[in-house]
Amino acid sequence: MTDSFLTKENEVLVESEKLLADSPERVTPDVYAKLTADYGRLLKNFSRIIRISDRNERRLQSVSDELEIEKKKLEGVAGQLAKYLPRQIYDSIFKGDQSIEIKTQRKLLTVFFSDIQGFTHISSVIQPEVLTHYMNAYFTEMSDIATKYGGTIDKYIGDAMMVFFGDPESLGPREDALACVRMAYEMQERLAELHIEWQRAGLQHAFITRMGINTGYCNVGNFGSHNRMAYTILGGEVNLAARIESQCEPGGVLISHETYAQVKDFVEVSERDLLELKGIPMPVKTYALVKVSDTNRSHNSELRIDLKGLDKVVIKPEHLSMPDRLSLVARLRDMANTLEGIKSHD
Amino acid sequence: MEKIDIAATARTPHLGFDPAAGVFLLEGESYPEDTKKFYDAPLSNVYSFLDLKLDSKAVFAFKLKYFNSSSAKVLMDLFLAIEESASRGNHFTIEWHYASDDDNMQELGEEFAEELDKAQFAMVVF
Repeated sequence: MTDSFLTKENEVLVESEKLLADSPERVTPDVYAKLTADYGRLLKNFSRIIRISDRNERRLQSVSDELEIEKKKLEGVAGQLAKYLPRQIYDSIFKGDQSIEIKTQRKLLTVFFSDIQGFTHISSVIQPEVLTHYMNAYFTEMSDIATKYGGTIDKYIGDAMMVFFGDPESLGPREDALACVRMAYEMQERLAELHIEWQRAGLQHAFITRMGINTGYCNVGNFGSHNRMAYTILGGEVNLAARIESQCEPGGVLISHETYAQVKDFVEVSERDLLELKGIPMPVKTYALVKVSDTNRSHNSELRIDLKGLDKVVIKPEHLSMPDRLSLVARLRDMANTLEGIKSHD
Repeated sequence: MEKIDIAATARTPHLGFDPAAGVFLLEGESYPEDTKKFYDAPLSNVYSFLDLKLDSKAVFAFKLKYFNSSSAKVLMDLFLAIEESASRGNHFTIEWHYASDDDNMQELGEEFAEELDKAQFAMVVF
């Protein structure tokens, strides 16, 4: 099949072939000269088309290179912007799942708040540069754990952190609540280890953190003006989570009855007296987290070790609060690491 | 023969032809999805004009920023037809307009000019 752009050239070929086949005696020098001229023209056009094609390719390559540079710039800017947005929200926007408009919806979410006990005092006695270093390390560690469990990190407010589960991705109310509780537990576990590391590095004031969790219907979406908006959550249940957090034992995790109802099969808790909370009309039932099932590595019977060279270790798990238990675990682990590093004198 | 005036799109040039005034214009970028479909109908009128005219004047202006290979073949066929018509006594001029910083378009115009003898070829920089 002949390309439609080469009709004339094809006609020359067909005529020549026909002449050769039917009456070769008519192939005179004039016919041959015409064929040669046609061939010469074809050759020139062919050569020109190749040059044009090569030029166009170079131009396309140049445009492509420019686009690649622009793309890298855009990716760099987007990467920087991503640090100011919850990862899930950033992903949703860049995939085109989220429209940038003021719009909210009600969703069943589990909301987490944390803050550092006595932070005002800590910030007044630690050099700002030192404080900045440890705060960045603190938020990095906590955020990594939040990300691991799929939490949407809403914002940092001073020393406080706000995370929610159930939007934009949800595994269902129970799984969302459980992920949040597991996240909080792991945060406290990690903090117990960090206290030892940071104390050894010279930090005199430990970052003892309170954590509060509540589950309920919240308004989630873009709030603000058309020029400046924030993807966040609002509602009474959010306030309740913040109030519960303020009543939490330092180093612990306090959860509302609604959260407890979602996770009760997977946690061990200590029921608290009804709490009167500012701005909340009814007394609130809360539970202090003792342990989460899949992180349960101890039992309630007495743990006793008698060894030559060891004065005495007796642990009574049922008498330990969660903060003290996590702290003890971290200290024992640290001691084990130290012992492993000491050469035997046998 | 009627006037032709096809507006430019992102992929096709503005194509204008006024047979009475003897003015043809192709301006813009040319990389149509279907080059044959875009050029066949309007250029068949131009070819008829080139076949019919005797001892007449016409200007064929090309102000292209970019064209693909199949458009280049269309241009070369058109230049050949203009040259053949000019060799029969018509006074035809091809104006090749190019931007002062567009070396590619300048070089292409110079190459096309080499093929023409009877038709005038004018390089116009802007």
